[in-house]
Amino acid sequence: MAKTLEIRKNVLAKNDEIARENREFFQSRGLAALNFVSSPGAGKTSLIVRTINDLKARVNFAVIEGDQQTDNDAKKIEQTGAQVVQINTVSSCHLDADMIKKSLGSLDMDGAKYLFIENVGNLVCPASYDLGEMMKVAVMSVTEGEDKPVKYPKMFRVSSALVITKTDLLPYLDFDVDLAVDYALKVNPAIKVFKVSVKNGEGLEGWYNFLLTLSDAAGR
Amino acid sequence: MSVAQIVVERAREEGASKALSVTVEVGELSGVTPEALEFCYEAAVMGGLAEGSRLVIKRVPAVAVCGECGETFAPNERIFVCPKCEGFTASLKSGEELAVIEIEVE
Repeated sequence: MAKTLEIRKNVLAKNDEIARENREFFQSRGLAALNFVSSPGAGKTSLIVRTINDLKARVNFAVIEGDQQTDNDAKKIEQTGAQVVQINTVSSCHLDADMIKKSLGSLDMDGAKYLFIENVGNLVCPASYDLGEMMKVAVMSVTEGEDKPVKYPKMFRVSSALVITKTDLLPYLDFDVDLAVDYALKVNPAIKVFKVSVKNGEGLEGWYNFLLTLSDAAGR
Repeated sequence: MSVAQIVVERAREEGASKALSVTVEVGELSGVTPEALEFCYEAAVMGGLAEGSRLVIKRVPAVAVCGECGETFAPNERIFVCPKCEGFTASLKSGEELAVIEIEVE
């Protein structure tokens, strides 16, 4: 005999459960965990490397690198002296909470104040997967279209900060920074925007000040 | 894949041998395309007790509530500008669902 069973279960419930465990773990250690998301090539790794190099005298970092293949990015991070673990998602286009949980075991995070999680370059799926992070940081470069935030609104809506990178290239491009910021604020009025050049250092100070306030918040 | 897992787990709990139909709710702004879900579902349930079952997709419209004046409205592509007061602080009440609602088993 056929019968109907009520379920009402969120498909991402399992991921969200593990994300909650991760979040508790980060909070118990006073660790500010940031999930960096962007399209491929926006400059996440370069931003992370420069940030660590500029701040490592003051605070310790740990990094989880997510890519479909290769440990190229992890090697770049390793040169900064920060602890790093590479996750290869192979066929998957995003990191999920369980991958983070499993990789935490390979990091000795004693003394670390920040955990930078570099997601797979993709503006769609990573928006739906909570990893347990304190916040998502969207990275967008000036070589992209100004309308990225309205084309991929979910990602910019769930991110708390937006770092616009490669501003040293602006003299050579038609990119309208104000328009890009406008679009981002339309989708997410609360998003904090930083315009930086990792190459010449422009705008990084504001980004660092913001980061340092996060660690205070996590440590409390 | 997760949909198939939820279905199989629940059906097993009930000692059912076969799932006949599966009803899921998909929000307009969930980022899930019904056609893609249908396509993957067929492959995901293959070889299990839900093989050949019918997937019923219920679309859930997006509804936003303005944080300033309380007006409810259908947001336009996630740009949540209130049509009444033009406030920017609306939050989503529904439209992001991706959930298994019920299954029919025997």
